[in-house]
Amino acid sequence: MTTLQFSDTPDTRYQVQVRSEAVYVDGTPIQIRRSAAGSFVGTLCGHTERLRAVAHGDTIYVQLRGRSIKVNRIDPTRATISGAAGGAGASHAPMPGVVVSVLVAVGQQAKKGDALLVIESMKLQMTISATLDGEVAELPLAVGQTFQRNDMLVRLKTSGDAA
Amino acid sequence: MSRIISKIDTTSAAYKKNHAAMTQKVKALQTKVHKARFERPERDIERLHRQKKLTVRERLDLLLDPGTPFLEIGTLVANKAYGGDVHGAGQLSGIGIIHGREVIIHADDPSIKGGAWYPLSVKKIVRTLDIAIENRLPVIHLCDSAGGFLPLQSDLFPDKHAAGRIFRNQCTLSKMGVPQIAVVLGHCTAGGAYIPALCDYSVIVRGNGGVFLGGPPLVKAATGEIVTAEALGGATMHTTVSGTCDYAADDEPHAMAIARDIFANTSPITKQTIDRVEAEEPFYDPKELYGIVPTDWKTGFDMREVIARVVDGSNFHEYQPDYGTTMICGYARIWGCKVGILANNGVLFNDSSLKAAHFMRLCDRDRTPLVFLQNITGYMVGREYEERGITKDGAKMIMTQVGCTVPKFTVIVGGSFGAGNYGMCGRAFDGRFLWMWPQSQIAVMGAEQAANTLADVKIRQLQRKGHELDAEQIAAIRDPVLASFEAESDAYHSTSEMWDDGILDPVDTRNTLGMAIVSSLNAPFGEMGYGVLRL
Amino acid sequence: MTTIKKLFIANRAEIALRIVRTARRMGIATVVPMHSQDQFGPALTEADETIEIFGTPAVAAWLDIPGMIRAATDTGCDAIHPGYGFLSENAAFAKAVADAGLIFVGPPASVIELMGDKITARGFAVTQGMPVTPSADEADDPATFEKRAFAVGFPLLVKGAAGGGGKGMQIARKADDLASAISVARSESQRYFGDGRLFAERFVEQPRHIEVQVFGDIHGNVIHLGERECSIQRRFQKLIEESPAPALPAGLRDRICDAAVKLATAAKYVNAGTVECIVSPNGEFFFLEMNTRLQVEHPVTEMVTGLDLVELQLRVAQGEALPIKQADVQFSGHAIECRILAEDADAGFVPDTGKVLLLDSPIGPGVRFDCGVTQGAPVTADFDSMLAKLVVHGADRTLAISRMRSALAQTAMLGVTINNDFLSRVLHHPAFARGETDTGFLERHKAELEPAVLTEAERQLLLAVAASAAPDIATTRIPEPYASMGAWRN
Repeated sequence: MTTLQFSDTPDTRYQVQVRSEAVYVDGTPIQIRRSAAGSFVGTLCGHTERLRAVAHGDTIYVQLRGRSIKVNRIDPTRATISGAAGGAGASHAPMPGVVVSVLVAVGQQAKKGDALLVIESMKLQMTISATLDGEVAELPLAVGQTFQRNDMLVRLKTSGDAA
Repeated sequence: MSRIISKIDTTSAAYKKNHAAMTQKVKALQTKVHKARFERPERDIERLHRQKKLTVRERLDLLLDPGTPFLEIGTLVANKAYGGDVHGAGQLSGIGIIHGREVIIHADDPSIKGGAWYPLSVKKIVRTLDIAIENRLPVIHLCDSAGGFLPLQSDLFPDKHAAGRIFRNQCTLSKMGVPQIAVVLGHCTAGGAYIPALCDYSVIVRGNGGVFLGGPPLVKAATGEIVTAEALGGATMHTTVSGTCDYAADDEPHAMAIARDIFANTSPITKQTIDRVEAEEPFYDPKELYGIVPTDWKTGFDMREVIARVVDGSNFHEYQPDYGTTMICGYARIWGCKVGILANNGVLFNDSSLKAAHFMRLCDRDRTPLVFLQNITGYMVGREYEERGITKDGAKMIMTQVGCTVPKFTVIVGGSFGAGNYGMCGRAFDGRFLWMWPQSQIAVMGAEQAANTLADVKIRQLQRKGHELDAEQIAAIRDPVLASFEAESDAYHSTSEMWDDGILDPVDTRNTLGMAIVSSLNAPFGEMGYGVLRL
Repeated sequence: MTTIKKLFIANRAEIALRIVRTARRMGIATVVPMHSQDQFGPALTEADETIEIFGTPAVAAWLDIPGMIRAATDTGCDAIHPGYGFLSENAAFAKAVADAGLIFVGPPASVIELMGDKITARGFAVTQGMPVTPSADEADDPATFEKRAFAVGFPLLVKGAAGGGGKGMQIARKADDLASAISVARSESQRYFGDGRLFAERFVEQPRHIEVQVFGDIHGNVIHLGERECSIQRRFQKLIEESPAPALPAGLRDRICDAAVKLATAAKYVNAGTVECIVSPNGEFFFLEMNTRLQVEHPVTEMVTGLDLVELQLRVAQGEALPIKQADVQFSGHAIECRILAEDADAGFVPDTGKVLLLDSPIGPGVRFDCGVTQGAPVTADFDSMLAKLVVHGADRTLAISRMRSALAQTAMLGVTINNDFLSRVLHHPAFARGETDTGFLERHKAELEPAVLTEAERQLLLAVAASAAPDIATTRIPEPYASMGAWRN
């Protein structure tokens, strides 16, 4: 069985097994058939639905009725659902971009909502604010440095955390 | 092979009587099975939820391939022991399918007395691993036990086939190259800690999983050290510091996904080949079995009618159809696999014993697995038969049967009494599996016969002292013996003590045998060889 | 009159292709530039020639005036079409093109200078009797700008004077917001336009954005080709445009169009241009700015008038008189355009990057899909996030909406997040159907436009398809007898 998750709900995982007669999703058999390259046919509430899908590495993009969904394949031996790296105090880049300004320093105390740094992407500037009260533990990027989507931009630690 | 011609009249009074009685028996079985599988005290379920644990069957659903069969072993073990609420002895065992391959599961059931090991729990685990060894089935251990049930420790610890045998079996499996994966879902304390340690791979759940030779209370008592379970033997410590466990899982579904992934990376083996074709449903309806076999074992029936409702297409090639007619021998297929069937149709005589021995040798030589359908009161007794060598002939049958290295499977369809049990591959004779029907009986002799014999002895004893007993007094001696014998001959008693691998609904016989036979092919058949036959 | 023989298109993606197609129809050869970061544009395979241009970041190549002209002359072109964005409204570029002896397909540099700069354009509009919103120009007296801006009153729109396309704009709703609005608008404008000069004007709440397509030729003829409504915007950028503007009273429509023509005529406007206005809820209109180029949403006008605006541009650039008079212009039916952007609309319109692994172009009667990517093209942060324009025409607005919904559902660019489903939700919203469109639409209906939560059945179907589509997810074979036994339990 393969572990899959929807990209925007990474805490929920599904066990899927492709068999010749059906695809089992968490134990429920779902009947679909491939109608052409990248095209599939299935049923929803008695209606026939056409879907388009294409895989790229560990991500599969599926479109149903014009709505496209990203599904990720997870290696259960590597993935952990206890938060993205860094835990609750880390902020991650919502999109690729560049650091415009850094407003705090490592060791500084910050309160929830305090501005920590300013980033820019696609001409759009965004302020990254503290998601909780804590001490700035990591500032991995300098002004002018570029980053990719989901890269960690800053990490705060609370008094309960280890270093 | 050709189709068995059935002579059953489903409209007859006898059929209907049998059907009604067996239906009752089956319903009673289903009720008991359901209770053993699912009924749990509220507070035990609540505790599971609080601990974020799944029930043992929910764990199984996540572990096994969806929409595949599961052959449970010993569902009703301990149903007559320990006050009757240690269902299944707190253990779930069975053969299931992962990635299309057979595995055998040993799972502690934490909703039964915290998964504590009673003497019968240990027996069940040892039996599970014995099955794994004999059939070379990969083992998945779902560990979640409170440890040994101390009040009964003398019955579960010291003896040869007690708890130590679990670990000895694990080592044997490892040496044989049979993969074992442990999923630590609760505590593995003391001896239990060896289970993951002796497995090829182990997964441990954060928070709930713990592996330690001594738990926190014992450690404190022994050295005064105060330490939490998590720090002493939790997931993080064992997967990063000690290396005792290999993978840490965030929760139970994650643990099962990891276990599946590990299993996918073990290499499948090439199975033993046997004569096997595409399967075919029996021609006759298996439900008719309810009307064919009487619930009173003393009433006879034609075992061919049973065979006809278990085998593919109801096709049967009978061997020596006119000789030794109290023993039916022949070839059939079960789920496509060619098997040799030996089935009782009466008492065993010289000719039926010799026929059975010859047939078993044919099957063994041609690598045909053997299926024994028991309904036997014993070998014929009497001077004529002794002079003709009935004891020698029975011995030849047993000697041959033990020498066979093809897998043997036994179903006790009616009665299984005395030496008849031996010749027909009873429990002691290394069959891969043995099951009983709900109304079947097993004892050294029938209860009535035993009660009469013992009463006789007592009566004559008293007579020698000059006492004559009236009917009431005789009954007072005889009836308790009868009752006790009946209770101990009962299928439920047998299954409680795990003298068998489970009680089957008769209609499940075919699937059970099919799954067992195909699973047994994971082990290569041994070299042929027999002891000396007293000719 | 000079016939253009070979046209250099100083642009890329969908507009380059669109220009190539008309040029080819007119027998004009085409050259489209290629960059190492932009090798997958559909125009590159349809143009007659391509030439490599250089620059880091990539967009710099399209902003390199000497570079663009050199590319055009090196390939023997006699005209340059700037498209939209990039150098299309850069007066210095227009002048340099003319100085190099090439035809610039657009207005003369002097007109661009006059009307391209917000502040001078506004001043000019006032002299022509065009209504404008109260404002303050920083350039008048930078030291007092903040004070004068404060005096204009709130809500106040602070924007870069040299900017456009919705960038470098901030709204200050009350006095407290003013200082930060000024500093953010300035830094954004500096970064994007290289010019931090600011302009502040009163912000009309819930305005409708109405613009008029005008066309002039060198003979002094100026006509209008009707209005477009572009009120569905996010971050001041247009997402959906349509023509005619729904629920615009006929009288007001005529007044706006006439005023636009009057303005363009006075400016001696040549070639394609758009006069942008805002219309307040009580029916007042105010001049906003003029775009001295072809607009992204020009297909909407093309579909209701049946005209080819790029052809008109090329003819006018060749010195011809406009081939049609105002009275000849016919309007038929209704057209809507949706901009297909590489962004996650539901996560706050966050831009996305990736690769177009699977491209499905919608087709059907009245459907036009101007696509700027090909299957396999990477989508990076190097370029604008608009990947395609989906334009639809119908005999009336209801049919157009229906066709657009269907076309959006057909559109797929798997591998990068696009906003087609979000646009579809807008098109399905009853307020949109009622024509209650104004620039506050998306914000006002934000909660209703959220995507429906997937049902369990939908999730299962999506996962089943996902697993089947992944080539390295093998099919598990369950051998007999287990396959036939199914979920049997003893």
